Parts: sequence; structure tokens; C-alpha cells
Amino acid sequence: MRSNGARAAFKDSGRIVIVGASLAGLSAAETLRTEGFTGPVMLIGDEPYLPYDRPPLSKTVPIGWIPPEHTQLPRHETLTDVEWRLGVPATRLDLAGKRVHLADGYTVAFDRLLIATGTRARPWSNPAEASLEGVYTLRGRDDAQRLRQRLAAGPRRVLVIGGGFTGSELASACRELDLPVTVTERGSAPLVGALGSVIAERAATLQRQHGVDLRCQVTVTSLEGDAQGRLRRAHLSDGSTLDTEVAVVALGAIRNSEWLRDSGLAVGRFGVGCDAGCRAIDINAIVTDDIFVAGDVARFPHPLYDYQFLALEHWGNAVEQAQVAAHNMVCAPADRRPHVAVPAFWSSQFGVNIKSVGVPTAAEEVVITQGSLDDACFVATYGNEGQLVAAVTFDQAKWLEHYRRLIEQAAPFPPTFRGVDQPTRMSPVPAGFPDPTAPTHEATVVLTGYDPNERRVQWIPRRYHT
Amino acid sequence: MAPDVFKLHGEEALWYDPAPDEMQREHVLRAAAACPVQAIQVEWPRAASRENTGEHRGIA
Amino acid sequence: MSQDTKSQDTKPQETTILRQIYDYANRANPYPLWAKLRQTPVSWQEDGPQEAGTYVVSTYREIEALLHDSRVSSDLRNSLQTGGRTRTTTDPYLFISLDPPEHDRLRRLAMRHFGPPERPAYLEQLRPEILRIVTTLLDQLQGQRQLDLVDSFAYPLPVTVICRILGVPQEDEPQFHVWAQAIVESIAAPTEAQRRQQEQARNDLNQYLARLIERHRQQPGDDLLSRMATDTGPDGRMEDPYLVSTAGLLLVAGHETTVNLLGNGMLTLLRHPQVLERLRREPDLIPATVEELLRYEPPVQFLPNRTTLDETPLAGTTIPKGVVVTLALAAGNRDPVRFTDPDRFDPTRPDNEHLGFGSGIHSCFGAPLARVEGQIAFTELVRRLEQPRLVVDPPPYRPSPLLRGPQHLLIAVDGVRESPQQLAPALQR
Repeated sequence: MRSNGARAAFKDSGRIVIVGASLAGLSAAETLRTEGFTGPVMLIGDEPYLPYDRPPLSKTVPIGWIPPEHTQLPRHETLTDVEWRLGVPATRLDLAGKRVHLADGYTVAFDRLLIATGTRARPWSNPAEASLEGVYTLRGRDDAQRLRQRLAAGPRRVLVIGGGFTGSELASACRELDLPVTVTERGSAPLVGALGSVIAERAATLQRQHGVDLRCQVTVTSLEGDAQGRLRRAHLSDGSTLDTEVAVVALGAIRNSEWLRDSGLAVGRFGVGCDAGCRAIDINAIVTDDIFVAGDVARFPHPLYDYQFLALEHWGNAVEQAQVAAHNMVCAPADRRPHVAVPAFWSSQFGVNIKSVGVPTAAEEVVITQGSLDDACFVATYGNEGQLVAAVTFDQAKWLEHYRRLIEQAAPFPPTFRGVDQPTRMSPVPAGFPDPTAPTHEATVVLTGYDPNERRVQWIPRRYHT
Repeated sequence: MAPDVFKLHGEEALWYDPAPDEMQREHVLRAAAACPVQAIQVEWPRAASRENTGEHRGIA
Repeated sequence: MSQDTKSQDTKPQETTILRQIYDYANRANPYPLWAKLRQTPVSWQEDGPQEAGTYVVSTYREIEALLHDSRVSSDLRNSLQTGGRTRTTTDPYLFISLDPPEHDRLRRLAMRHFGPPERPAYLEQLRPEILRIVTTLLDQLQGQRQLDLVDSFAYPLPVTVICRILGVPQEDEPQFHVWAQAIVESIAAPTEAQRRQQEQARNDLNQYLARLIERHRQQPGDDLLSRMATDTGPDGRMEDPYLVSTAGLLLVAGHETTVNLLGNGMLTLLRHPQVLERLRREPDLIPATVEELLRYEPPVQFLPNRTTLDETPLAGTTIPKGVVVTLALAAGNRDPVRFTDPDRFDPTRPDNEHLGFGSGIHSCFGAPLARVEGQIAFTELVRRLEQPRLVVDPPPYRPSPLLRGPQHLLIAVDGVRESPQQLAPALQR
């Protein structure tokens, strides 16, 4: 009886603060209101903009089809009466005092907190070189605007540093604009960290078929500018140089978790640890009561993957996890939901729709189950120890639901059933994920082992991670 | 249904303008209603909603 | 659960539900039967008299699952059952009854001239033309107090539209109407006589189309047949036997189904006069209404021609390999597990992801055209018919349980309003 009263009271007047005003933050706020939470909700964002969508920044914006302002996310009709604190980053979390400290000196008190600060693009490691005119990093809307303007001016060549999803999509945009583009990629092929070398090789061919000057197993060692501070050329690890006035740094993402370093939460390189109900884990690996995490910044255990912790940079995860977190923030304990959605991501590049369901990096082997690798139109399934863990499609997205269901049912790998459009021989081969101990730039899915606290980690290097 | 607002990249990927202008409103609404997976969410701009409070609805 | 077929485990009543669906006596209201069928999501049923029987899937989630399951083939030649419609020589040139990769290639070739990515604005640009056709048909009804909406509108509209799109001369319509009827009537559980008629009709239609295609090749116009016959793209050109069959498919599907969307649709609206009245005031609801009609009274009630390439687990049972599978779309559309208050006709219902156009790789090719036609047609019908009311309810139905709709829809009206097009011909949408 009393707990009912306390719960009802919280639902009416408890104060919820969301740090992070992007996709996850917005989804959470909408869900809070839909769930009937009527207390004050504040969203704090470091950028001065209302939440906006990121995928278009590497697709429709660089080609000039839509202006960056159009990326603002639509707000659900239930999102009323929410306070926005934009353009001011959070600097500290006072866990015991239940206060968030902001960069402008103010502190904000909360009853429950959602951490949704996401990730930021990894900057170029040399600050002097990074500040050369012509060097871009796609951090957000403003960068997208600047890059768009530069591409529209028709540079003679664009250098894309890093062949992950963002880099590949930007290279695709350059080719759509008929700009010469060079992509440097540390691994054996673009997207190798996410898809494994067998499938990534096809992505490499796709790039070359579209005229990309793709250089694999090569890194950029330095960027050289002229006396006026403008980029002139890049020095590559194979000893060559490349003349270019535009370089885009696409070396993956860093979790925005530094502000939580001394907070007493389990924070590390891969974000803030939490349980499957999105409650944050503290430094003693004990679940907190009132601190929640969602989106790119979260590390969470997934039952389908042996309860290994996942750290995802997926659009779908930001939405779904935020919805689960918000629900769990205001519901009765008996009504808590776990975030167990099968991870999924997509990329559209060079006219191909690449989609994935599951965790490819959990796999040892891969096999083409439908279609043809050569035609860049196929379904590839991934497995580990005889179990299906992921599927990736190139222009065959309608089949993905089917494979998601199979993954959820712990179906065998390789698939044993006869189905449409199957290659005559289906023999699995090693998937070709890079050596986990070798650092590379980008992993949109990271399996990070059991221990959420980096200081006590003994990594089990069975999987790829940055 | 709204070819200036939605376009296919290659055979499959659907790209769209998240903030089309007023001229496209009817087309977008038709597309939202007809979307086979009901994936299009429409939000009215704030200014319009003040005048037509009855119309301030998102179609999720 | 029983994998063995007819006799042992299935109760006697269940084996006759599908037969009852086929029975013409139930044509006016099959929905209580579909509801009964939903009690067992996956069941073996006997269908037509010449058929060997079929597995039937009747609940929404299970139908959705199979429409995306790669173990389910659309090519009946893969069936291990003998007899019945599995004996019908599948037209090897029709993408509707083929699997990937052939299916994907042919559908892509056909889509090149019909919609995105190559012709994204095509159907939108057809709107004024379709509106003109609708307007003309309704103008011709002015002065009448009673009319048959099927003969005077629901049939001529899609026929005129598809003929224009394909480049088929409309004066030939009565002839291929006969062929289309014969083909449509034999899709599900045909008698021996129907099967023979269908084969004959197909041959005649194909010959007709082959001649027509050759004419278009000599003198290409801007129509689909001319384009398909002369155009080349990255997938090459569609070879002639495919071209002929595909043209036939588009011709037959292009009117036989849309007729029923309009017929069933008007019948439903006339049975729900409050909705009709609301649509007059709020024409913006028409697109959502078309979707709700596709859910509530789907023109294609079920898909009878799937087969399994392997054992397929579903809803706690296993569908054996090689059996014929029927997907009961009309049943799934009224599944209370998926749709709140499913037997309520409500155009404002949110989350209306219906099965009226199927789903998966075979989802209706012509859906965008059907939507455009439906939206324009219902808008004008609602606006221009004054005090429409049903004269006969239920109306007489067309024979097919599969492509189901009224044969005639007799309505009374106080009049047919003028159209703005008549008053100001320069006005265009």
C-alpha cells in the first residue's frame, strides 16, 4: 500500500533529469510522458540544438540533398512540458547528493537520472594537424554543414581517413558528387571490424567499382599544411604521400563518459556499465537504484550472447534502450522490462543497402545463405560454435526478420534448412574478424567481457574490440 | 507518393527529407498513411499547431 | 501435433472450414469462418474438390513469419504433393510464382518502368489522368437515381487505367475480360473444366499480348509495354516470354483486384454511414480509409500457392516439407492478438500494418497504383454521390472466394454532384 503511494507520488512529481539531448534522450523523454509520468523532466544537451538525427549527416547532407537543419528529429505529440537546457555540457555527477554539475556553474538536482550522452567522433591525434584548414571531423550538424560547403566547392581530391561505416558513406557521397576520393583503412578491407574480412572484401570491391582509390592496410601518419595553415598533403604509412586539400577524419567514436570518471559509477573506455534493465552499475559492480543509462554510452549484458556486455553505436539501440530505460524509471518493480532486443544496424552506401541483425563480431564463421556475394546481393549468416549469432544482408533486407527470429531461437549454424536462392554448396569459412589485440578505428559493436570496470579488467581477448 | 521527399538510394535504402516544405504536406501525409510498415512519423511545425490545435497530432 | 494429414487428429469440423470458405453460400460473410480457423493457427484443411488439401495459416504473426521465411517457396513445382493445383503447369515466366533469384530479376525489370528507383514520380504524375477518368465515369451517372456501382464505376475505372498504363487498346477490353475471368476463377481449387478453360484463356491472352507487344516494338509509345519491349538497363531487357506473361499478370491483376477494392470499399462505407459522412468533412482521412478497407475487406482473401522447401516450425507445430500452404490474409487481418477490436471498421485506427497487400518479397507489385486509384476514387465518390444508400444488402458476389467482391452493387442516390472539373476545367490537382 505504502509503496504504491510512493510510486504514484514519484510518477506525479518526482524529478527526472536526462543528460544527453539526442536520439536516446528524446526517445526517453517521449516514453516518460507516454507512460504517464507527469513530474518535471529536464533534458541537458551540450550542443545548442534540439535533438537531431545523425545518420543523414554522412548520407543526404554531404551530397546536398537536404540542409543540416532538416535533421531535427520530430517530437511525438505526447512530449509536452519538458525543460530544455541546451548548449551546456555536464561536467560532474554527484551521486550521493543526486546532482549534476553543468559547465556554466549551475547544478541540477534529480530524483532519477538518465545518462544518454552518447559518443563523439574521435579527433585527429595531432592537434596542430587537426586544426589545419581542410581537415574535418564529422562530430555533428555544424561539421556536416562545413564539410558540405567544402565538397560543394569541388575539391580536386578528398581524403577519407578510416574505412568504417562513416568513412565509407562519406566516400560514397564524394563519388555521388563525382569527386575523386581516397580512403585509407588500417585493416585488410573497409568495414572489416564490423563485418569480417570475407564480407568486407565485397565492400572493398564495391568501393573500387565506384571509383574509390581505396588503400587498405595503410594509415595516415601525418597531415602536412602550408604556411597559411591549409592542408596540402598526407603522409601514409607505406611511405607514399597524397596531395590533398580536404581530409575527413573518420576514425570511429569515443564515449562521452569522461564527465563521469570520478562519479562512483562503473565507467570505462566502453561507456557506463548497466544491467539489462538499464540501471547503472557502480564502481563496486552493484546496481544503483536511480541512475539509468541508454544509447551509445551504455554497456549492457545481453542474454542472447552469453550475457557478455555489448556497447553499441546503433540508431535502433538508442531508441529501444531509451524506451526500456524510461519505462523502468517510472514503472512498478514487477513491471520492469529487460532490454533484450537483437541488435541491428544499417548503412546505405554506393547504392547498396547493408543491414545487419545480431552481433557479427561474436562469430567465428560466416557463410552465404542466399544470393550471391559477387552480385553484392546476398544474405550472409554468422555463427559461433554451431549457433547462429548474426546475419548481414546486401540489398536483401526483406529477409532479415526471418534471420532475427532464428537468432532469437538459438538456431543452428550453418543453417541446416533448405531455402530459396541458396548457393549449391554452403560451406562456412572463417569470418575474418581482425585480431582483437590490434587496435583499429571503428567497431559499432563491441563485446567487452564480463567485468564492467576497466581498472579491474582482465580482457578475454576472444573478440575484436578497439 | 511523395517522390520529392522520399527517394531510393540504390534498390532498397529509403532516403528522405525530414523537413519538407509546406508544398509537400499532402504528399507526405498520404505517404505516412500508406506506408506498409507504418514507419513514418509526422510532426506539425509549432506555428501551424497554434492555429489548428485539433490538427496537432503526430501520426506515428 | 499432427503432421500426418487428413484423417486422424484434426476434428471433423476443422477439416471443413476451408471448404466452407470455398462454398459460394458463404461468400457474403466469410469472417466468422476465418475466426473459427484462427483458433488453430496452423492446420491441415481440405480445400476444393479436386485438391489434395493444404496447410492453412490463419493468425497474423504466423502469416507474417511465413511471408518472410526463406523455407517457403512461391513456386508450386517445389511441392511434393501431387494432384490438384500442384498439377497446374506453373507459368515459368511469371515472377509471382517464382523464387529468387529469378523472381528478383524479373520484378526489378518490371519495376524499372513503374516506380522507384528509376521512375519514382510516375504514379504521382498519373493522378490527374486518373482523376479525369473518375470524373468522366461519375459525370456519366448524372441524372440516374439508381445505379450499379460495379458495372458503372468499380470495373471500368481500373480497366481503363491499366489499359492506358500498359498500352492496351481499350476496345479490346471485352475480349480480354473473358480471358481474365477464366484465369481468375481457376486460381484456387479449380474444377477440371475450369482448369482447361484457364489454360485456353492463358494461351489466347498470351498470343494477343505477343502480337500487341510486337506492334509496340515497331511503333513504341510511352506506355509500359513499349518501354518494357524496347528498353535496356543494367539487368538487360526482359525476354519475350517473360514479357508476355508479365504483361498478362499486370493486366489481369491490375483490374481484377482493384475492382474489388472499390466494390468492397463502397459496400463497407455504405454500411457505415457515419464514416462516410465524416469522410465528406475530412477528406484527409481517405488514405487511412483505403488502408483500413484493405484490412477489413481485403480484395485478395488468401494466398493459396505457397509450398515449403523444408520442415518449418511454426506456432508450436511443424509444417512438413513439400506441402502446399495457404496463407489466410483475411483471417490475419482480423486477428485480435494483433488488431484491437478487429471487427470494427475504423479508419482512424493507429498501427494498421495490414496484410491486404501481403508482405515480404512478393508484396503486391501494384500496391502503389491501387492506393492512388483508391484514394482518388473514394474521394470523388464520397464527395459527389448524394445520399447514397444500398438497395441490396448483401449484394450478389463474384464466384471467386479468393478474389472476392460484389458482382453488382446496386445503390440508390438522390443525384450526382457536379465536379469542380466541370465548373473550372483549368483546375488541376
